[in-house]
Formats: sequence, C-alpha cells, structure tokens
Amino acid sequence: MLLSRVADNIFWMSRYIERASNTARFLEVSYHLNLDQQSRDEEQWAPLVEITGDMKLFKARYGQPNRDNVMHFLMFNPEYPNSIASGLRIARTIAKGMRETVPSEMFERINALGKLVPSATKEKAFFHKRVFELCREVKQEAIMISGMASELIERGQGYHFWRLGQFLERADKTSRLLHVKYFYLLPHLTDVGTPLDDLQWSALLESLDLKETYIRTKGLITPENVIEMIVLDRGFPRSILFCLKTALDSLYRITHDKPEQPHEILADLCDALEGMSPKDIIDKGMNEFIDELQLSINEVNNAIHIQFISPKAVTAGA
Amino acid sequence: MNFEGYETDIFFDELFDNQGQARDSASLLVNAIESLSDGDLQSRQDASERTMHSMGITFNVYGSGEGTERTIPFDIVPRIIDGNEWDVVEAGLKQRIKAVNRFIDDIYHDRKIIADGVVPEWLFTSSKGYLPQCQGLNPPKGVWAHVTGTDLVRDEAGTFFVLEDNLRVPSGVSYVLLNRTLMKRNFPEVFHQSQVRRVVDYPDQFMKMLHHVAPEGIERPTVAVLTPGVYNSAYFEHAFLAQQMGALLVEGHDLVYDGKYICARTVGGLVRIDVIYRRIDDEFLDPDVFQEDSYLGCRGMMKAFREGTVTLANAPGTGVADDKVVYAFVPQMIKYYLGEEALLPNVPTHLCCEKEALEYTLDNLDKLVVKPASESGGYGMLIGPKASQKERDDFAKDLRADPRNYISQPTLALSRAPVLVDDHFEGRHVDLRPFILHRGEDSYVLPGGLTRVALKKGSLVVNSSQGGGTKDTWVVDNPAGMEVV
Repeated sequence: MLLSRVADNIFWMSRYIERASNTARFLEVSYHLNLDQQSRDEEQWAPLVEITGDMKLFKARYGQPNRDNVMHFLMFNPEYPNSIASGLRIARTIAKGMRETVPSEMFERINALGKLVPSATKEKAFFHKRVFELCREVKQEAIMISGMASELIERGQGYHFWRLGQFLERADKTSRLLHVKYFYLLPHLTDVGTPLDDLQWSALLESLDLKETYIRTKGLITPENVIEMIVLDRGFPRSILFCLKTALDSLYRITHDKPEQPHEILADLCDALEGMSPKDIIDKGMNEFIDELQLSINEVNNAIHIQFISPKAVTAGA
Repeated sequence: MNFEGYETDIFFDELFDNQGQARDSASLLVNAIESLSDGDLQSRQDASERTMHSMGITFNVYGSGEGTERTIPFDIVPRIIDGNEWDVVEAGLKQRIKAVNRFIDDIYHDRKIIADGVVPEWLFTSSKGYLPQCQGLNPPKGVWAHVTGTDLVRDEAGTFFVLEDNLRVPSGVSYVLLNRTLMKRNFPEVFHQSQVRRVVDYPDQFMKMLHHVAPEGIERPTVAVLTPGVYNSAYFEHAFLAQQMGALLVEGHDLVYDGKYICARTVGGLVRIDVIYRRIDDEFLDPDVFQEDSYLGCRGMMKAFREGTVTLANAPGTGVADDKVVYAFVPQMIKYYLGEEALLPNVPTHLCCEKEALEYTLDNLDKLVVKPASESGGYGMLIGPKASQKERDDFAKDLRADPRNYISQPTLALSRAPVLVDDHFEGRHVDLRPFILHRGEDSYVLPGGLTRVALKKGSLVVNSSQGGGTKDTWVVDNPAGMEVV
C-alpha cells in the first residue's frame, strides 16, 4: 500500500536527483568543450542555460551568460530551484520527509549528497577549482543512489515510482540536450559537417557517457547515427526511447498491468518513436519533433498526477 | 581515562556511592572506561554524534534560519540501574498506569470516585484535557492511555519519585533505541557481561499492543502513525517508529473520512485505516469538533472514533489525567481503584488552588519549584532558588491571577550521573522517562527508559528544548560481572 503523497515524493525525489546529475553532466562537458576553443569569443555558455528552459530567469538575474555566471547559476544558486545545489537539497528534504520509506543506507547517501554542494561561493577561484570535482561527485553519487534503489528496494509500487521519475526526467533532459545542440550551437546550416560540428556532437555523446559506445559500434560521427543512438536506440539506458519504454514498464507494474490514461499516452508515444527512422526525424524537422515530444511527455506527467496523486484536482503538472 | 577527582558532592550519584566507590551495578563499566587510553572515550563520543548526523537524526532549531540542524546531545557514559531496584519501579509504574486508566474511564462514565468523595469534582471540570465529547465512550479493551512516558527523579537518598505522567503524546523513545545501538557498538564486552535488559523489541511490543486494541473483528488491522509532518521537532521519531513497526506514516491530508471509516489516499485508491497512533494533540484531531483551522488532523475523525470504526491511541480525552493537579491525586486513585498503596511516591505537591497552599507557595517562592498544571516541556516553570527577585515577583502575580493553573513542589536535589566534559568527568543532574504500553489487562514497561541529563553545570532542567541531552540507560541483571555461561 503506497500513499499518494509518498508516491509523489518518491517520484520527485528521483527526478531532482536525476536532474541534478544531468545538469552536472552538461556542465562538465561544456566546460571541457569550451576549454578546447581557441579564443574566449568562441566559448558558448548560453546553450547550457537554454537546456534548462529558464533563460528568462537567468537574464533577469545575471545578464549575458558567461562562464562564471552560468556555473554559478547551474551549480550553486540557492534561489534557483533547478540548480544542482537546490535540486539536491530538495531531494534531501523530500527524503527526510519519508524516512520510513527510504532504506537507511540510501537515505544516508541522499542526506550527504544534499549537503555536498555549498549554496554559495565567496571566492570565484573556488568554483573553478571545485566545479569539475563537484560535477563528477554528483554524477557518481547519483549513479550510486540509483544502484542502491535497484539493489535495496523491493519491486513494489514505491520502486516503480522511483524508476518512473528517473526515466521520465532523463528522457526530458536528453531531448532538451539534443534540441540545444541542433538549434543553438550551430545556427547556420552551412556549419553542419565542419570540424566544430563534429566536436559538438562528440561532446554531446560524451555528456551522456555514450561516446565510447558510439565509436565502438558506429564508428565515425554522423548526425543520423547520433540521432539514432540518442533518440531511437532500445538498448542504451539514456536514449529517449529506452527511457520512455522503461517508464511505461513501471507504469504497468504500478497498476498491476491495468492500463490507465498515463499508460495509453505513453504507449502511443513509444509506438510513434518505434515507427521512425533518424531520417524521418530530420525530415520532419528537429525543432518540431522535439516540441511534440516534450508536449507528450508533459501530458504523461499530468496524467500521472491525476491518476495517482490527486485524482480530482487538475494541476499544471511538471 | 579515569574518574580521579570526580566529585559526587551532596547528591545521589547513579554510578558512585558517596565514598567515591563505583556501585556494584556500575563497576564493570567503570573498569572498562578506566582501561581506555586518554582521548579514546572522547573520540567514541564524537563518532557517535557523527553517526547521528549521517543518519539524519536531527531536529530543526526553530527560528534560527535555514540549515540549522542539531542533534540532541548524547553523552557516552550510560546510566546504570540495578535489575532488582528496577523491578520495584516497574511494578510501581504498572500499578500507576492501571489506576490512571481506571480513573479516566470513571470520569467519562459514572464518576464514582467523585461520588465517593475521594477527589473533588472541580478536578476534572477544570482540567484542560477534559473532553465532554468523550462522555460515555468505551475505547477497545477499556484502554485510554496506551502509551505513557512517566518522568521519574531520585532525591539525595536515591529514592525514586514520580514527577509527572505524560499521557498525551510522550516523545523520546526513539532516542532510547538509538542510544542503545550506539552504546552496543562502543562497549560490546561490558554490555554483554552486565546482562543489560533489552529494549530492541519495543517497536514489536508496540505493534502488538496496537493490534490488540483494534476495532473488533479485524484480523490484520492496518495501522498508521499520524504525524504533524516533517517540520515537527519530533518528526524523526514518528518516522522511526512507523518504519520499525511497519506502520504507515500519514499526515492529516493523507486521510479522508468516507462516511464510515477513516481512509488513507493511496495510489490504488482509498484504503481503510483501523488503528491510528496519533502524534498530534486532541485539539488538532478533527476540525469539525475542535480547532476549525487545523490541517493536522482529519474531518470525521471523532465521529469514526465514537462509532468505533477506528481506534485512536492515545484515546482523545486522555489528557484529563495529564494535569499536574490531577497528578497529585494519583496515590488516592491507586488506593481507590486497586486497594493498594502506591509503590512509587509522588513528589510532595502543593495545589495552589487551595488557599493555604497558595499562601505557603507565595511565602516560599525562593525555595520551591512552581509549575503550570497543563504545560509540558519545562515551559512556564519557575525554579525559585535559581530565579531573580524580579522573576519571582512577576511570577507571584501570575500565580495569584490563576491559582488553579499552578502547583508547587520542593526543589529536589536531583540525582546526578557523570558526563564526559572535554577530558574529564563531571556530575550532572538526570531524570528518567520510562515508557509504558498499556494493553488493558496488563502493561509492558520498557526496561530503563530515556535518561535525560541537564548538561549545563548545576542546571536542573533536563528538557531537550532547553539544553538537555540524553544517555543510554542500562538495567543490569549481572552487576558483579559473573562469568556468563
């Protein structure tokens, strides 16, 4: 028996940890990428903010994005709920609110992770030194916690809400990453296929821990192959289709195989993706494809909320 | 590490006699501590506190800004009670809780004890915890106070006295269990040899008791712990108990009354709850009946309780006996209901509502402790000898304005126990809160209970809200450390 409130908490705790670890991945890879640029003029920090979807908020607070303010915004900012520091703190607070549900070992890990990133930095020098380390630690801890979830929690409804949150969040973030790569990094079609383009695709793969796998299985970088891998692959745990199918599986387990509204929406989405090739996606237009995808994921979020958490109240969703 | 220079002073010390010799019950422990190298004990204590932090056993300090989390200070030197001595205390507590339950039931039914002139009628009518809505109710097995935390103190002679009965939502038991876990790690050998009575099965005893008092005819009752939520300072305990007992941990908004039952909102729909161990006060239980703006409880709770479709522990209305004026009459209740003499004495208590007692209290404010009748947590209390003249004068005004709300007691020379202070030991005052689970026909008493210690030098206030800490409490059956076969 799982309380709706607890289900909601598990779902969001999982999402916040996944979100923080994705942001850490993006931050780390961008930092590397920008270090490879020959001049500071070529550094690109705006895309990182675009991924979050909170550019407006950013500009109001910081103005034009540059290395320092983007790092501060994404890693430390205590007022921004999607900064790594805030996300981990929220996850910790949620965990404290359901001590009775979270296995003790896992709680201790989430508790420590929530305190890992300081909420503010006094010296600029500090975060240059620490940002790398922190990104790696956050990423590794998130993997550790996720491993604990799969090793320690019985496969009941609670576990599946954790998995549902994790994979929906991941699908969403992977799609945003792709979106940003396609439309903000290379605004000119003429740039496609240049060495810079290759470098960026390669960075994108790296941020998903996919580069080695890609080179081993597909060889040279081509946009079609990268899209195949990131969107349509069924075997890689960060590809969008894999994430969505995993989420769908958890939904069925939560309801003991009974299909409900969220199942139907999500199943339709998976079917649509399974019928597509990378070429279809490029022909359709990446922008349109990702907009539709994100709309569908939002519908799933809303349906989950209405089905399990707040049966009568209609909410804005995620 | 040794106890050289440790002074018991004029007080009864829990580990040493007044010649400075370790008591029999404590000699194994004292030897073990003395065999440790300098700094060892301190580092064990530090490690224990780090463990508490990493386990998240912290409470938020109200009003001190975000991120201020503290653990309740833990002292690594356990307090030891001889098993034979404890047996008397245990019998006294069982007797007391039985009588108090009979009293509550009597008050909500025929009030024979008043008709027979043993206690005055104003006693309950003026008690803040009296609920007219509970008149005539029969909670399952006749149990009103399922869980009680009775505070005990010892005087210079080492005699145990009852200081007060916490019958509403006594807290602290999670620290008993946790302190024990820490201590077993620190002194496994001494622990084993001393044959310390176990506390680990408390959650199990608790759950069995809650099943026992479930509404009739339910084979496997669904039990929930009702918490005010994560911002409550005792939240850790609520979650801990729910987890250890295998109960649902619910907040008010997780519950809904479906016209007959109290149900929890789950991902699979509404599920009936049979027994609720509630950690919120009566006045927040049901906005239809009590505080209208309470979000902590659930509409319909009292209706379900009255109709017997849900058991609440402790039962609403139990607070009638959680009053320091009512407390003063417990020895009479024991005599009246059980025909026995009280095994555990009360601290001599002056009821300020009686004219003579009021005058006496006012004349001796510098010697007495004066307490509000219905507060807990050490709030609103005057410790005469420690207060300034101005504080006493101000207090006298409150006292005259509302004498029913006050009692006074002599300032006790509370017993002390050694605590680790940097690199040496100093004596600090302690009290003891045993926990009693009442099942109707019998009770279970947790061996020992929570030892609270006033960490500030000379202080008599042990409440955690006011700088108190805790110690593990060992009831030992093999004080001499005979070879355990």
